[in-house]
Amino acid sequence: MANLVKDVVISQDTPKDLLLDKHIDYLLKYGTDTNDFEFCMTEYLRMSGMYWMLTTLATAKKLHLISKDQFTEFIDQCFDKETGGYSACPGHDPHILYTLSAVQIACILDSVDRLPIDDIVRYIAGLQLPDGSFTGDKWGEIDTRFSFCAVATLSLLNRLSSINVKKAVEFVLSCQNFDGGFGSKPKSESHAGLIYCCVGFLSVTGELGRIDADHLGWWLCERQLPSGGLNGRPEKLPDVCYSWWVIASLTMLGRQHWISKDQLRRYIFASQDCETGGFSDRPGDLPDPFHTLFGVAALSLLGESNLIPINPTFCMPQDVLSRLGVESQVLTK
Amino acid sequence: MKVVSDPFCNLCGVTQVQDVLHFFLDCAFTTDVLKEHIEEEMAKTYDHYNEQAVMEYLGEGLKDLKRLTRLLEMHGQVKTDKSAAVKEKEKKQKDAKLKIYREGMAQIFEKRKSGIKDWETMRCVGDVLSMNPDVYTLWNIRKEILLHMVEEKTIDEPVKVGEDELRLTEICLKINPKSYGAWHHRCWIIEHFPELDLKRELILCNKYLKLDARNFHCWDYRRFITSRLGLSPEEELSYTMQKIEEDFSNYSSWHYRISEDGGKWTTVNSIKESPLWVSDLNSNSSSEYNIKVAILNEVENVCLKADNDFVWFRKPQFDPEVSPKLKALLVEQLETCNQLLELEPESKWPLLTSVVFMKAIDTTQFREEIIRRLRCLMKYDKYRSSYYSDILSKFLIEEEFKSNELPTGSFSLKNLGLTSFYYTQYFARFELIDLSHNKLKRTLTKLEFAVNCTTLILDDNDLTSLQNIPFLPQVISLSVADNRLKTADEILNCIDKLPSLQKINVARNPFVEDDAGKQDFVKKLKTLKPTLEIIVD
Repeated sequence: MANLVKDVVISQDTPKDLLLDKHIDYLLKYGTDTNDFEFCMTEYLRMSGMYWMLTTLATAKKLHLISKDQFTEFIDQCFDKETGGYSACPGHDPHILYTLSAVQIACILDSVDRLPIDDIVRYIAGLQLPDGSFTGDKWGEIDTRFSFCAVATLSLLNRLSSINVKKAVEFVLSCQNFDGGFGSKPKSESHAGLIYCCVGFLSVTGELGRIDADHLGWWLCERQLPSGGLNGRPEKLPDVCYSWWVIASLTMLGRQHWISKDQLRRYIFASQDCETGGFSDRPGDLPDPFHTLFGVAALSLLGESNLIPINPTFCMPQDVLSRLGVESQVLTK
Repeated sequence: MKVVSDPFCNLCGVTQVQDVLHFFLDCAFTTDVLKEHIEEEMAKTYDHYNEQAVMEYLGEGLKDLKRLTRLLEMHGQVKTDKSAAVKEKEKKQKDAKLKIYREGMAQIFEKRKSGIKDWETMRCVGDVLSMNPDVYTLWNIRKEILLHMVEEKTIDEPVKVGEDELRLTEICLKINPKSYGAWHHRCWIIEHFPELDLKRELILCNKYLKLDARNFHCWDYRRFITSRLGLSPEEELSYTMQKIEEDFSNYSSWHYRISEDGGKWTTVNSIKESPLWVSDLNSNSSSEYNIKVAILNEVENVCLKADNDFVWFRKPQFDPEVSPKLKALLVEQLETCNQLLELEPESKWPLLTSVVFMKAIDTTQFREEIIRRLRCLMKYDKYRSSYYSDILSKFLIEEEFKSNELPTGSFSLKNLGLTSFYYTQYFARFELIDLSHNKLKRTLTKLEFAVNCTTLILDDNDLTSLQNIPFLPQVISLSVADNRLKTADEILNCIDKLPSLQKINVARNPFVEDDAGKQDFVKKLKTLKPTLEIIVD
């Protein structure tokens, strides 16, 4: 008996092109109502939200539509002098996730010289444990996401040598599973989001040669479902954010052609909200800035003509990284 | 509606299901549509939720709902936009919730600023967290206060305090089963309150995994608990199949890292770990060099000698070791695949699995069948056809390298339908490389290892561009006839990468289709390289 595939059906009336102007409107409107319930309840990730918005606008060549000062002032307010890290929003605690977002925002806005680089480096380096892993903050949660945040932040600041890279690589490799994928910790299940973090980590550190790209690439290309969308693990529904995590990982591994790009494009287009703008996880669901960035970023990697090229490792415009002289490894096709 | 009260409802999200029910009731659905949507919602929220278990919990609630919908005589209505009244009601609810959230947060931050670390603050923090469990700072504040209380020795009943904390995380996981903050707090509590009963945690994990078998946070937590209990996962679970899988699918990837020997060594592609390293030789040195080669963590002493052209290669190992016992098992499994394929010849998984088995059993015996089945897969699993064609290319190249001792001098991989290169580090050995009649347009970059190649033949490869051709210092003769190069620039722009070039064949490409194109090309190229022999037809 055939297995039932968990998937969605894309109806005929879904969008077939990129509705870029609508997405810009959606993002510029997002957060203007500071009493909006969803907006307020997500303040614990505000810094990342601002990075999602900014990267989308930059990729769409619309950075001139926002006030740069608004962003840099926000970053300053979130800096914690004592630790050297950044919080998600003023009053909250510093965390490596938001420290990376803050640094990414400064890079995109060409304001790296404003950053207290030595403090940030001290914060990141202080989160590394003897086994090479990183905690997210002083409370000790360990996750390969934080390994990625650490090396991405330091690489953007040209300070990668401030940590024990060799140990950090060892830890990430210890999180690789029999199926070629990676989880959040040793023995944790393979998951496309964490695979992106680990492959991205190896790309930043120039150690992609340490993994069997065919093996992992196969697991990743199996994520494409008949709808064209990608899921994050076997037997799960497709989701636009996995379009990014899977396609970016495949791109770093030099195996983007192992899935059907046309079908993926079709799925991402179908996940746009034609009324409000923005992308949702699946066709017909409510849009949000997170899925909007990853929809746009994935389309950029797939070569969408109205978008500027995005870097698969950092999820930032390539021209920003070129300007900073930041390099990341991509395996030869 | 009947409220389902179950001690575990916090963990299975039953109240959330009820929210969903209410929502759909507002949307005026028929019962059947309703049930369908609940299932859809549940599938979205809970990855592998156990429908039966959830429906059991729902039980009476669903019956009530059926009665209600019948009373309201709502049949066959499709989903419409929410009515203004519903929107207004929701807005009011949200505004009220937001007010509580904001006031709570303000109060907590005020107390934190004043250094107040008491149970009243804990209560406030708990209330806000049960609304919004992802506010990580609030979990930090709880930990700060608890640490403070431990230090001040004001905790009289640690078990009760610990259990209350666990209960709070349960409430929060009900709202968001994937809340990183809540899961980590649970681990932190277990670590800081050793009095707590770990066996109970294991039972809770089982219960929770029954409802959502794919929640990786819960699996991680389960590993955390079992390791604290001193149980190895192996004691509980049978990983037999996984291990067999590991045996044959985890081909050991190997790469070279040569310890820097006076800093003379460089890699061809400037990455730290490269399959090929080269160095200039000192003219006044001896006929022998001793170097250290580190492959992963194994260090080997290697002597480079003049009579071997100072070249050292590690012998390629393509086939993983398979024990006779495993081989017998694989033969059996292959037979099962073949039986399935007799019933459904186009079935992807038996095709793919059988290819893996045949590769592990005997590549020589099954060579033709492996090729045939991979070609079938290219046809039947269209989205991944490039994967299969690349894997087929890898297999064919391995077979070429295996068929005899690694050849020297000239090497041909022509007419194999290759779409990708593998093991190109061995190309460093060859002077003549013939890759004609393949489909290698995507992979020219990998030719970078052909550092000793003097004659390179790339005829009939669907090439549309030579942009990715790498620096090839020794190539004297290049042939790119019968491709799809559209402009003379494709050649002109890569001439710098071929400093030794004396002869080039570009026949039967679109840009030299007519006489004008040919003349124009020859003229331009002669300007750059006057002595070059150019073949245009």
